[in-house]
Order: sequence, then C-alpha cells, then structure tokens
Amino acid sequence: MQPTPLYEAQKQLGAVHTDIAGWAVAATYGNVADEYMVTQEGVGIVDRSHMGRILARGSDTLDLLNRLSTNLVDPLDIGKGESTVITTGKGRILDWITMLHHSDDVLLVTSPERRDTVAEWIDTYTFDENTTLEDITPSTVMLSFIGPKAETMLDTLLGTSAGRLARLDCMTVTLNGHEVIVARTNPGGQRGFDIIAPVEAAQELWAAGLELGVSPVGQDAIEALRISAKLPKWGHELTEEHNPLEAGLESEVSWTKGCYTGQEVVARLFNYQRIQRHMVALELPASGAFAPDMPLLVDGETAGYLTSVSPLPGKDTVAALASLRTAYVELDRVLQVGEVGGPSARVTWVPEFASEDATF
Amino acid sequence: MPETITALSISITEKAAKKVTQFASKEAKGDEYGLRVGVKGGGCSGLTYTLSVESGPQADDKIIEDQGIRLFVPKKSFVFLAGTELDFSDGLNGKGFVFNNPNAKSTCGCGTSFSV
Repeated sequence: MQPTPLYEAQKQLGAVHTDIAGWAVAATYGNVADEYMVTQEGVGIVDRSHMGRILARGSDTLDLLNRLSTNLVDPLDIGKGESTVITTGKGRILDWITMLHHSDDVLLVTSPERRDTVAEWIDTYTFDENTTLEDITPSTVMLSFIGPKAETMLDTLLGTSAGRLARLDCMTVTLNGHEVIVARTNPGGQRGFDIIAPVEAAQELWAAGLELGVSPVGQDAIEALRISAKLPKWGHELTEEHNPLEAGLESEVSWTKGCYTGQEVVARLFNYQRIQRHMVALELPASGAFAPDMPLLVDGETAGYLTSVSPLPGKDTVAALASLRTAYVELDRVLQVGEVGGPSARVTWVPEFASEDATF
Repeated sequence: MPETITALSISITEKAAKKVTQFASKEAKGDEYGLRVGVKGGGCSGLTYTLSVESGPQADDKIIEDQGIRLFVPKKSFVFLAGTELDFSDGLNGKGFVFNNPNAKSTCGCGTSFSV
C-alpha cells in the first residue's frame, strides 16, 4: 500500500489503515462511534489524499467537459464548482467527479480507483481543444474538515472567511507561503470543506488542525456518513454496468443542455421509463453479518443486491444501500437478505424520481 | 509541416464540393482556402464531426485534394475519418453536409454523432 504523506502522523494517533485503491487510508483512530459523533457535533479532520486530483488547464476545458459529462458545467464561473458524471456512449458511468474552477485552471476530483481512467478518457476525446491534464495526486494532499463547526474552525485556520462559501464554491488561499485550494464539498453529505495543498504543507496543516482542537476521523465513520446521506460510491453503486439514473444521480443530469456522450441513452431511459433498477436505502438488523453483493429476495425471487453496508454509530441498526429492480422499488418494502428466511431488510428511502408519485 | 496525401483517403462528392466553393467565396477566404474536416469529443455517441472553411492548413494537418477542393484534416481526427465520403444533401429532407463514414459503428438519432 502507498502511504499518504500523513501516514506516520496518523500512526502516532493510533490509526488503523486499510487499502483503498492501493493507498493506505486511515480507517479509524480506535473508536468509529466517537469519530462519527465528531462529524455530527464538532469538526473532524479526514485525510482524503487517496482521491484522484487532475488539474485541467486551457481555455477549452469547460466546453470539453460539458460535452463529455451529464451536468451543465459550461459556463462555470471562477470560484464555482460542479459535480457531474462522465458517461460512456452507452450512457454507463465512467466516474462521478467534482470540478472545482478555483483559478484559470479546473481541478477534477475523481474516485480513487478512477483517476487514470478519467485522464485517459478525456485525453482520448481531446482533439483540437486547448486542454492539458496534469495528475497532481502525488504532489498534493486533500484534507477534509467535516462537521457543524467546520466553518468557524476554517476561518480561524485560514484567517479568511471560507465559511461563507456556498456548496461547491471554491477559492485559492495562501497559507504560510503555500497556495491551497479550499472548497465547500460537504464530504459524506455533512457540512464541510476540502483543502487541497502541496505535499510540503501537509504536516503543517494537519498539526494546525489538531492544535485548534479538530479530532482525526477515519474512513469508517465517513462511510457511515456517506451511506446515511445516500451518496453512491465507485465500486459499490457506481460501476461501468450502471447508468447515472440507476445510481440515484438524476440530479446530476442536465435535461436541457443538449448533447453529451451518452445523452441519447440516458434521455430515452428516463423519458420512456425504462430504468431497470434503482439505488435505494435499507435498514438492516444490527445482529446480522452483511456485506456488499449479498442478494435481496422477495418471495424467493432475487429483487436486487446490497451495494454498501455500515453500522450506524449510536443506533442498533445497520444502514445499507442496495440496487433493486424497479418493480420492487417501494418505500417500506421488506426483503430477505442472503437467502429465503434470512434477516429482513426494510426499504427506508427511494429516489424521488423513482417513487410511484413521480410524474414523468 | 502539413503533409499532402495523394491517395484519396477522404473524398468529397461533386455536390458537396460545389457547396464548399460557394461558402468559401461568400466568406472571402482567398485562393489557398480549404475545408477543415475533423472530429471532436461529445455528441450522444462520443464523437461529432467538425467542418469549417479555412484560409489555410494548420501545422500537422493532412491535406487531401478531391473535386478541386483541398481538405485539411487534423492528424488525430484522420484515424476516425479514413474512408469517409463527404456529401451534401438538400431538398425538403435535406440535412446539409453528410458524412458517410465506414468507421462509424453506431450513430445517434439525429445522425451528427458517431462512435467507432
């Protein structure tokens, strides 16, 4: 596993690391429930340096990305960001990325496993455009400050009013001589910011956060946050077998911007109500042992499968996301997990556009 | 340096050539003009065609002459266009310039985008 620049600092705090896309990522600092509560009541610092970071330079970047992805990303003013799904010609997901237009350049934040794929894809479809890509993942770190007190803490840390940034707004700030990017990305669906900084600034930034009383939070707590917030993730809900609508990303699709790669398929699926399956949220009993890919059954028939599972700190249930065939997508529906007679799962959330009341 | 290709790898029909000549004279592009034919990413199927009348080729463009028209083809686009016949369709169901591209495995509903 490749350590992030903060690996040793995390070890000193008792971190247990796990492998994510070849990176040694801090899973927990010893108590997932406490770390989760920090994100609910205070502010936590999370090392997300394993995320892919590609810097796109050139005057055609927004136009190019607008043609290759589902959301409206051109125009996108400097200081603004947007999330969008890069889709294949068949409307399948290549990756769900965040674009941060922090300066003349645009930072593309990709899933950890997809940074090479995204860069190669964009490069393939770059012909005459004035766009060049640089993978800055190895030369930078990405630290997230998550929780209701993140704004106040960040203002103190940076000496500027980052707290007034709206969702996906971003800016560059000089911190002790280092230029860093600050963006309100609300990681895990909670209030919070990402700071992307040069590797040389990593230790300083980490230490400054801890000195201000920010607690380190590991990936396990973030995973609980993500699943509670119904956010899909690469390798779980997001794969090249799924289209954005099946992964609950209807809000990431612009229906008015015109053509992009995969648009025709995505529009047909939506307009003709041909979406085969949907991402839903489930509640499972705390007593069972659950894992992604376990089948979900209704009257002995396979209705879908689990995609993400996490215990919910402070509650006696397990939260899960699942992919369910459209015919079974219904709030409060009960499914059996694993086998006939297996533990019961209850559907607690379905995407608004997939519910019976949705008007197409 | 632009590279001139003698063997026809991309062709243009008489009708399309006539249209190009009309556009070129309307836009007063001079004697060295040509039709820049290329592709770019996007469109429903992944790639769309680009067409513009230019007063001269860009460095690294391939140059193909057919029907008295010089076609300027960017190197990276050429692989996706080799063997293409450029036609012009008018009348009530006319679509304007039409690319008959043997490399296109699928096209989108409106026909302006293709994949290989």
